[in-house]
Amino acid sequence: MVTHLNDERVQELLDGQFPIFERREIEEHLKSCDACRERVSQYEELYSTLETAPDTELSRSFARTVLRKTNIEEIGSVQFGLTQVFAALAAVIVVVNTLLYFIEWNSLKGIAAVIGKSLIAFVPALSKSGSTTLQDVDIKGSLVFIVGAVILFLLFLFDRYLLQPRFRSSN
Amino acid sequence: MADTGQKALIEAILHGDSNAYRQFIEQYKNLVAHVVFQLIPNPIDREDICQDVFVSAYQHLKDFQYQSKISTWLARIAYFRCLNYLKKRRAVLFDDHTPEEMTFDDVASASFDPYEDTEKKERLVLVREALAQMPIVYRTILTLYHLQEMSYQEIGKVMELPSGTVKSYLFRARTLLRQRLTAVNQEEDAW
Repeated sequence: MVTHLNDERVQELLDGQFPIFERREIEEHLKSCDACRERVSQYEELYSTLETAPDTELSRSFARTVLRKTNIEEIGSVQFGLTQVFAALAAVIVVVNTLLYFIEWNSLKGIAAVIGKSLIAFVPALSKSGSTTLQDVDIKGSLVFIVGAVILFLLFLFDRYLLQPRFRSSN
Repeated sequence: MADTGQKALIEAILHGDSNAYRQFIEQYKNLVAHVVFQLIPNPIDREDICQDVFVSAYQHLKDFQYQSKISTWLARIAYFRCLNYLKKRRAVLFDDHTPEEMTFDDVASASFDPYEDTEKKERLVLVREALAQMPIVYRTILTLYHLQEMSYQEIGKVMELPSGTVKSYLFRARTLLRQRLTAVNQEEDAW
C-alpha cells in the first residue's frame, strides 16, 4: 500500500532510485491521487528546466587565449616552423639531386655533386672512401635517397628528443 | 578511470602537442563554463576564470594520476578556483547571494528553439533567478548533477564532501527551488 509521496520520495522516483516493483505501485497510486500527481508534475518541470543548459557561450578566441597563456601555442608554432624548414630543405636537396641525376644536366650536375659531397661528408660511413674531395665522390641515385632519409631521420630525432623536451620543461 | 582515448590525449598534451590541448579545451569547456557561470555573478570575470582553470589544468596535468575521471578533476579545479575568487571578494558561501539582474531576453537568447513556448521560457527565468539566490554549494551540486550528470560520489570528489551529504544537499536544494517557484506562481495567480 503506497502512502502519499513527499518531496523526498518524488525526487527519488524521478532520480530512478526505486526498484521496478515499487515504481509500479507508485504509478498505480498516482493514477488515483491528484495531489501526488501535481507534486510529481512540478518536480518534472523543475528537473526539465535544470537540465536545460544555460547560456555559457565563451568567446571564439577562448582556446587560442588559453594556449597563449600556457605558452603552448607559440612554442608549438616555433617547433612546427623549425621542423618545416628542415623538412623542406631536406626535401629540396633530395628532389634536386634526384632530378639532376636522371636528367644528366651536366652544368648543374656539378652543383648537385657539391651538395651531395657536402652531405656525405657528414656521413663518412656512407662514402666509399671517406674522402671529402669532389673527384672521390660518385653520386649514385640510391645514395641520394639514403642521404635524404638520414637527414629526415636526424631531423626527427632532433625534433623528438631535443626540441620538444626543451619546450615542455620551459612550461 | 580514464579511458584509452583520454590517456592518449593527455600523453599528447604532455608531449607539447598544442592541437591535443586545443581538443581537450573544446571537449571540456562546457563543463568548466557551467560551473563557473553558475557560481560567478560578474559576467566580465567569468571568461577569465574559465581561462585560468584551463591554464591551471595544463600546469598540473603531469600530476594527474588517473584516480578519477578527467571531468571530475577539472570540475574540482573550476569549483575551487571559483571559491577562491569569491572569498577574495568576501562572498558568503552559505548565505543567500544577490544575483545579477537576469532579463527575459537573456534567457530567451540562450534558447536554440525558436518555437519554444513562452511558458517554458518564463519558467526558465524563474528557475535561473531562484537558483542564483541559492547558496553556492547547492548551485554547484545542482549543476554537476543535472547538467553534467555526475554521480553523488563524483560530486563528492569535486567538492570534498561525503556522498551522503551531497545527496542530502541535492534534496534540500530541489525542495527549496520547488517551494520558491510554487510561491512565485501563487503570487502571480493572486494578481
